[in-house]
Amino acid sequence: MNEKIDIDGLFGQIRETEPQLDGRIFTQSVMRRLPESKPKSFFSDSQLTVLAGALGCGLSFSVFPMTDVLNMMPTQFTLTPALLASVLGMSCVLAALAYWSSETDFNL
Amino acid sequence: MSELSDQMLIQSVVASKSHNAFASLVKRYQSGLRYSLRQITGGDEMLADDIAQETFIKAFKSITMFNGQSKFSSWLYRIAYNLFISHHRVARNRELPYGDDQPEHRVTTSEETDLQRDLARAMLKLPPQQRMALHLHLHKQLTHQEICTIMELPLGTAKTAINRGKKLLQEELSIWKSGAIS
Repeated sequence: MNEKIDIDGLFGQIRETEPQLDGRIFTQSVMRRLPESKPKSFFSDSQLTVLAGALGCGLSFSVFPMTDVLNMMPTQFTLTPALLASVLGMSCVLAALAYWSSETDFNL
Repeated sequence: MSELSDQMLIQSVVASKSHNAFASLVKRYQSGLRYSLRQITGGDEMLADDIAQETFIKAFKSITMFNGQSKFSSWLYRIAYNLFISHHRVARNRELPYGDDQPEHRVTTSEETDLQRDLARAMLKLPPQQRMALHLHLHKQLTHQEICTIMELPLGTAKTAINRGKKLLQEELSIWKSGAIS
């Protein structure tokens, strides 16, 4: 006589012992076979940047308190070693930030 | 750092065809999908991985078609199931060594236990539709509705496939068990 087998229990056991398959090689081979994404058009990219820049300049010019800022500008200043060091330090930080942002892929 | 949600990754793939975002999705779902395919191909790891690869490539190409109404995993399983059925048809027409009576075609690894191997062999005796329905219901514990969505079947047909599959598997394993005892 055939003994009845507990199919649900059997699948339960299988589920508990399901291995986590290492996906490094598999993922690499999938990624190699994906179609290349279209390169961004340099022309449309530049156009957008110029347009956004022009818009930004226009808006800033209309609301920027130019005369007040000009009045706040010092008419003379003294170049001290501390000031020079601060300017150099700031330049280094800005250069490092620019380099980092150009080398980083922000596409997730 | 918290992991990005499927939705965010999918949006990134749709917007910029980001390979990095898609790689995260592949890493997230590859293990479950490959294991499921191993189960329904009777433990044929090479075939299962081939179908899994094709599934992810097809998913990448048609990700704009994913409407977010079902889970991303369900959508992947639907693609995988269609590819599996297509492969099964081609194999049957060409009479390739892949099929119901060719368990020796399988490639096994030490990751597989005896129980997994025996069940995979017994599953080969079932028609592909019943095999998939049974796997999704009993192993992945999906609801009948989810199974219908994945397999694009009416509810009644899905339930029948599960019940018939269970019965057939029961008979198959009983024969195997009594054979092993005698």
